[in-house]
Amino acid sequence: MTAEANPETIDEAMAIRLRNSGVTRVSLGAQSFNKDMRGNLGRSGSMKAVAEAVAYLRAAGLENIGIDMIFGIPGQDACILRNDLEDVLALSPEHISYYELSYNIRGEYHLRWHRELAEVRDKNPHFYQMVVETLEVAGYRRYEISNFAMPGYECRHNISYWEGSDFIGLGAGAWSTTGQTRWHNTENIETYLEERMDLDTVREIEYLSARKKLWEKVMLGLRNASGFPIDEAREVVDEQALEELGDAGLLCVNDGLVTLTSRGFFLADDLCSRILLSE
Amino acid sequence: MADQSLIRNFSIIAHIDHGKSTLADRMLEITNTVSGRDITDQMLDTMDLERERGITIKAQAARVMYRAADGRDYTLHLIDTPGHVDFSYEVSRSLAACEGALLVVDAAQGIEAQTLANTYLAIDNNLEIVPVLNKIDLPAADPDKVAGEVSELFGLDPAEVLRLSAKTGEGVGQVLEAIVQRIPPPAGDPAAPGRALIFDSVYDQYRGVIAYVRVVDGSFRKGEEIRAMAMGTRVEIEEVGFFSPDMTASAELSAGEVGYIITGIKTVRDLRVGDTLTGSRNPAAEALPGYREAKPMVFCGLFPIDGDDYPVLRDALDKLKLNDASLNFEPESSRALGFGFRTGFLGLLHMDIVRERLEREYGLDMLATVPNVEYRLTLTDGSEITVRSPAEMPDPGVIESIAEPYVRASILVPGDYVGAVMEICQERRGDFEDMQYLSSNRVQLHYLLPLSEIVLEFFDLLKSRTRGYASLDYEMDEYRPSDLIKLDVLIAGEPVDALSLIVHRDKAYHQGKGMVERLKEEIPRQLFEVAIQAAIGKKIIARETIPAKRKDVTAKCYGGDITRKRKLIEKQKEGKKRMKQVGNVEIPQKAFLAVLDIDKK
Repeated sequence: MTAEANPETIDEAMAIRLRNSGVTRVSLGAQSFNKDMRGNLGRSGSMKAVAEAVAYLRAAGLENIGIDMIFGIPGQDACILRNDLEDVLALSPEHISYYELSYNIRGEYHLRWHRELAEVRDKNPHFYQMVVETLEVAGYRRYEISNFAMPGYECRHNISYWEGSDFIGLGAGAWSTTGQTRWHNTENIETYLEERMDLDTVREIEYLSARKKLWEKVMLGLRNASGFPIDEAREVVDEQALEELGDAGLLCVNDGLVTLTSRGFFLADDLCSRILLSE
Repeated sequence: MADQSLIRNFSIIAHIDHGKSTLADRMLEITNTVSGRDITDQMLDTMDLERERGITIKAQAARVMYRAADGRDYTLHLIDTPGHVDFSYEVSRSLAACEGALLVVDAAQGIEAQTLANTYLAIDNNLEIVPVLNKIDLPAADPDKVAGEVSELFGLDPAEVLRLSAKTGEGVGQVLEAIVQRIPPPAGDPAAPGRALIFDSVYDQYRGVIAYVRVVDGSFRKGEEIRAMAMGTRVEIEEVGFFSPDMTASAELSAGEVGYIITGIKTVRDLRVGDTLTGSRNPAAEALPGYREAKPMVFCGLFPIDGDDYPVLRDALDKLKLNDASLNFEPESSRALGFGFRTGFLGLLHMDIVRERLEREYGLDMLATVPNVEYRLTLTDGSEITVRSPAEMPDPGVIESIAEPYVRASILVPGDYVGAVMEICQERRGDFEDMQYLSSNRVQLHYLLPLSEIVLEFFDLLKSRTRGYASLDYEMDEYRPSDLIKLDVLIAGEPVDALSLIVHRDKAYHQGKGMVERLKEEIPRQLFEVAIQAAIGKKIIARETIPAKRKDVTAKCYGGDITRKRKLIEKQKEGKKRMKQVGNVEIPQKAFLAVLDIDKK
């Protein structure tokens, strides 16, 4: 069982309480160890909090710790990223998620940091490469675009999303998928609390046909080191494109599994739109 | 039979925005031809496109009954002419249908090149010119200065220049009086065999072709068999009538009158602008002068974005052709763009209109290639051929010489911008002819220019470098030999036929370099590095490289992101569909027009 936590909220007592209540894995949102970068992300809390939280959790006997990081932050340069990578590795977490910063195009954040985001966008291919290389050298395996783990410590919860398993999300804004239905709850927490009594919290129900599910399986499989099995997916896949992209060194087909190569991972979205036929 | 002494036929010559349509509306209103309530702005411009662009594309006509100061009731026929150089032949026929013309000039802006050209055309047709200054209510108006300019240009007495505001209605009554007093009545022979000039013809889905005519001699009535003298078309008249301003049937149209003839014919090609109608039983010996066939001057390839739309495009062009005698097209196939049509137009505006109508009225998503002109080639074996697209250009080894069409351009511009205009004309291979001052700060320049230089955004360039002050008119001149070569563009080593150009040898390097630079901006990064090259024959003269795309991947994809992500990828697929796949490279449509932007920077 995983608990997600802000590092500042973990003290000795909390660490023990988590362990005693059956939590086996804790995922901490660190984002960056650089004060300016944290400021630019609108995060408070000190850099020391992460190291302290990890120490409390380890002392309490938790052996599976994940840390979430972000790159592509306004104002970030290669030196700052290098320090962040060193800082996170120094804590020896079993799992690292390293995301590129995402924001709404023309949203408030984008407008506020317009110039800096444009600058860092040009650096992001290089940054992503630095992240992948550094973590792999340190013994982590990239099992999905943004997720790295020591062998055996992959997040099973995440993997179940990507394999298309059923899941139930509870609370405001939470998504669920069971069988051929996907839905999410109202985003407003007050509305959610009112409607919960009448079991009326669901918004936007989507029907997932077998073809759509297969389509998603390919889309998600391509983002994972495990790939997707070609035999099951022929009806949604453009096999000629597959062959051309294979020749171009962007993917490989091995034992019936299609996986992206190291270069292919950089272009996963583009490749997805080539490999998949229309919904 | 109508008394010709009580008829006045006139047209209005004006520059875009100088208030022609507003004045026409005001005259219809004052004479109670339409009641104020029914007036939509610019009554006479009926096509949506005309109203939006504020221009007249098809000629229109209206019949106005007017009781003059002398107490007599006059019938005034107003013929509203197209106002663009592409349609100068149509203008000339509309003018030929009249005895006089109102020359409407904006009292603030003065006369423009187009107006000047059309006024000379009217004078050539022996029309009485009634000069009118409009918009005298504007604060910037300088009626005395503009009146001086106008009277000096056409050798008129400044006192004859009327002043009005079509917007407020001030002075419009005076104009109606001047029409009656100054413009001569028609002078045809009512007893002679019938002759009528077609000054426009439109196709109506229900009634067939409606010919807009000016009867010169004799008369025409329903049931009579008539003949179009140039085309040889024979047909029975189904209805005749007037424009008041809606079509109103009448018993006959007689000498001096302007109206319409409905025949049930299915294409305007059979009843062409400029042709003469005469009765079959008692035909006239001679047609009215001035008929000629409208010839396309500008050509471009039209290709459906979705190849499956090819039959839709063909049907749409067929339908437009019913109403447009000067549109012509033939199938063309391009290695890069697939199947489409090489389409000929009178000029750039005509091309724009046709393209826009195909998109709007037929919902077609199309790619139009860069426009070009018709070249005349003499080959080494002595034979002569014409070439309407770069792809048709034969191997340089067999070409003896190439000639291209020239135009005689007249440009009107304030004195401060003469230098800028001369610079543009030189860049565009123009030969200076002469220059004269129309007034202290208005200069008219004449240049001989290759038409091919005009079709590539010349007008936009002229406008932007003179802050919008320059106005342009041109007429076709003769073909002249030029040192022209074909410039090819290769993408990832493959020649792309739709990007080839025919250019002057001296400009080939500049054009080639500009092309590859623009293409580098327009073509998005691909999965691999792409070379863009410009070549003359086998010689590469310019090259740019588009580096491979490095990264295209979204970071997060958890439970709540999956649906969004799927839609994103669908969208990406759609985007790819709208590009043209040439070899392995996806090229956006805009890239095919890259050459148009080369000089803009």
